[in-house]
Amino acid sequence: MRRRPSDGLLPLIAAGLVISMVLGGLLLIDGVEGGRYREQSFAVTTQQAAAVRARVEQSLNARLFLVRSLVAMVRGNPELTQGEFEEVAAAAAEGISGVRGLALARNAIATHFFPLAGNEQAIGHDLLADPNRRGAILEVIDRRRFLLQGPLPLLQGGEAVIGRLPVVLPDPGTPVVAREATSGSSAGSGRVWGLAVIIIDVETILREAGVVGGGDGAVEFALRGRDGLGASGDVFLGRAGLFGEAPVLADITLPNGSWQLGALPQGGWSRQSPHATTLRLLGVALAAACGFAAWRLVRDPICLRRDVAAARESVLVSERRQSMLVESVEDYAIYMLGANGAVASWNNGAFRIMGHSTEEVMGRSHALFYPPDAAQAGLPESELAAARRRGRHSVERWHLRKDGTRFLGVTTIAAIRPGEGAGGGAGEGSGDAQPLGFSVVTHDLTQRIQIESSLRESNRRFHDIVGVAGEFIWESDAKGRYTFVSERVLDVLGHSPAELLHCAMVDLMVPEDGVRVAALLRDHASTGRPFRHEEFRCLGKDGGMVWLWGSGIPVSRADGEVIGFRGVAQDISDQKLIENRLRRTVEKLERSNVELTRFAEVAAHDLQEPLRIMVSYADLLSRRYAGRMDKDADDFLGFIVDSSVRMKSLIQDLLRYSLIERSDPPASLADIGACIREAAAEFKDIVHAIGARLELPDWAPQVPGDVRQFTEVFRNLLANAIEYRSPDRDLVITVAVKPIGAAWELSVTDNGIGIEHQYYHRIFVVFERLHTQRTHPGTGIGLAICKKIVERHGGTMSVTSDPGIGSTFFLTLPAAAADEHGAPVALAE
Amino acid sequence: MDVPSVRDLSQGLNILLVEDNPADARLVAEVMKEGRFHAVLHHVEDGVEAMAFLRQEPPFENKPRPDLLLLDLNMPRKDGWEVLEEIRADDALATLPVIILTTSDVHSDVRRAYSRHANCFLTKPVELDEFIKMITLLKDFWLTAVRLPGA
Repeated sequence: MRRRPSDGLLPLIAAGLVISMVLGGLLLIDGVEGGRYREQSFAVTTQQAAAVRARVEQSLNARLFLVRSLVAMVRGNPELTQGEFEEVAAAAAEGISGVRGLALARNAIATHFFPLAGNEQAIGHDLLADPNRRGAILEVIDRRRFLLQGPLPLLQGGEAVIGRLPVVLPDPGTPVVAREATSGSSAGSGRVWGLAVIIIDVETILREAGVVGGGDGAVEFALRGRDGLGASGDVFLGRAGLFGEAPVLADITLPNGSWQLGALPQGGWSRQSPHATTLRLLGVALAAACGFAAWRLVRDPICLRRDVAAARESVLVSERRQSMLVESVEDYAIYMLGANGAVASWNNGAFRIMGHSTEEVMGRSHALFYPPDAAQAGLPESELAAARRRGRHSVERWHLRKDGTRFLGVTTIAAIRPGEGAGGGAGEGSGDAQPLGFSVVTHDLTQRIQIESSLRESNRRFHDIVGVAGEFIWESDAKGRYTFVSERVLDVLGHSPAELLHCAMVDLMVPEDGVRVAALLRDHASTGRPFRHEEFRCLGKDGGMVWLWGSGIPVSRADGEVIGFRGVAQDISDQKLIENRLRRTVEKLERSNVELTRFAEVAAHDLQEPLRIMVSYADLLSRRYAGRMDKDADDFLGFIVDSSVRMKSLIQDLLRYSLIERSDPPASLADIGACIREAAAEFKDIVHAIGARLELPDWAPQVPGDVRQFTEVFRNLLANAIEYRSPDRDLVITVAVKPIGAAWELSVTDNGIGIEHQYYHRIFVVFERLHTQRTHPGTGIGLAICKKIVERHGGTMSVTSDPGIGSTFFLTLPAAAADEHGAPVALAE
Repeated sequence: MDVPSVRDLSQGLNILLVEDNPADARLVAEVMKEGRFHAVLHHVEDGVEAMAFLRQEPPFENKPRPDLLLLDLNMPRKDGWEVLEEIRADDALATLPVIILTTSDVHSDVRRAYSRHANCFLTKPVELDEFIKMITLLKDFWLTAVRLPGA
């Protein structure tokens, strides 16, 4: 967010201005208020002073009037007694407080006193005796006017004002008084009797007037002008200093002179009203509040503006992002519809899924995306109506692509109402506002349906296989502990899958196999490669040993770490048993074969030795003694010699048979044509002698093998054909060759006496013979030798025959590799 | 054991036959008779006796030194192979012509015999006639064509 520097300063400046303005106003008000207050307090003080002055005057006058009544009494009766005086005085003073005493002084000597009690010593007191008062008393008498003195301290205590009035009788009085009277300005003629005196308690007067003890205390008073001297007299009440503080002044008029009253508000003339502090505090608070308000007022709009700008920016960014997002989504078709259902926007996913490009669909009705039957049924309108009504409408149905194909998908239509974001959230319920348009999101479910279906299929396949497999299927963690074992394990090991869970598989094995398999698992966990066909022994639940044949593959996480294994294991105990038996049998057979061969060789050899000696001596016998013994002896000797010869040939054949090597024949090529020719050459004379015909093939192959042995095969077969020729016809022997698959079939056919079918297999057995020694001499080993040689070369030997017509002996020999057949060889001579 | 000698070319020639089978030994003698091979045929039954005879050790102190040795291979105690080796290793006997006369016709035996300096290798034929023929040949060859060391 950008932020101008003044943005921060402006509110502070505004606040400062407002505060100083409020404070200025406050000062003004404070000043006015101070002035007003001073005026008010001056007026109050003046008013009170006037009131007090009036009351003091009134109080004094009321009491001084008593004196005049005394004067009148004396004038009427100048000779009155103390008793009369007291009676009259008591009556006069009744109801008037503060009168300390009333007295008459005839000729300036105190003669009458009221009240007398307690003042007896005052009787006879010469008023003129006091030099301090003499002048004043003389002046009173002389001028015949009221004299007020005091306040003075009394002997009896307290202060009092003493008022004196000369009593003048109408007739001429004493010379002194007369003189005095004449010397007075207004004195008439008459005789001065004496003085009437009143003693007034000052405190009572002042209290009555409210100067002392009364009032609200708001105004402080002071009095000066003792003895009626006015402003020049002594201060006798209150602070003397008060008069230096510009008080309100009021003169209290006395019969002679005056007192001056000074009044001042309590505490002096205050410069400010008692509410000023409160006012100022309130003012400062107001200023602060106004300043704060100004600061907020100025600042808030700035902040608001900034926030609004930031919000607008972020809305723009988010809108842009959102639109990019929507645009880039490929798995969903996202598009907007106007209020009438016309396409207003179209994203990439929509193009991908529906097949329409943006230009093609903009402004067209969304009914385009419904299969014709659904469109005719009014589904496009009813779905919009549903969205309009409920804010949102979601449905799974068939959709139509541009190319006319359909797909199953989920479409969600949301109504966009005024006041909602462009995203058009779900405006619940309120169907009152007509929507601005609709947002539509369509998800193609085809792939999901395919995946789900193939997943289901794969699951079922797995389940079926697990169920029927002869192997049990297992999974383990990285440490080789079973995490899953199929039910089949129960049949194999006797443990249920639940028993094996979390059980280390090597723990079930015979120790040495366990160690080997543990190492194997570690090995394959590090390489991640599967292992196959591992054989190991486990101990079944019943304690029996079970041979297992297992394969497995490490299971890796996405990051490549091996988290376990899964695989299969098969019970091969039976196979193992058979295998062992077979191996033992093979070993035994090989041993016995070797022994047999050796036995045959040894037997043949060792039998030959005595036979040779027997034959030799039989020969020697007949050589030296034939004809010299009788006929019987000659016959017997003949039998011995014949048998010896026969036995010798049997032994030699046996030796020949046993000497055919069992090992693989040489890989070098043998020319079959040459072998046939060589064998045929050996019978050339006899074939000629018996008038037989020998038909040889034009060509014969070369096959890998032993030349001498192949020659022997043909020699034996030709000898056989000649031996068993029919006496009824000329012998024809045909040797033929033809390919059969990857082998050559050679056949030797004769037109001899033939062999009964049931004897086919016997003729290939050693020393088996079908004829007597007399008709067909021979050991019966020839065909056995042929068969053995052919089989040694990987071939087979068989015979077919029609008795009385002829026989065909077949032998097959595996062909050499294709390019080793060699050139055809001419066999015909 | 001496075979009665017949006066002819071979008269006076001493032949030692080493053969464990008496029938065989007698057959050799008879065949020599049939073939008119008139040599003095001495016979011992195994290799041990043969060596004693050749070295004229007891009980053969008075026996003559043979001019030819007919040696069988398979014998008890000491077989023909050992006898052949001892003869060839003994300076006094090394020059004695040794003829292997056996029933074996195994190729390896033949090679072995010659490699140990046998003078000739003969397989006894099964047929009597053949045997007589072989002995006659032997007589003709050794007593007429060959000049012997001891003669």
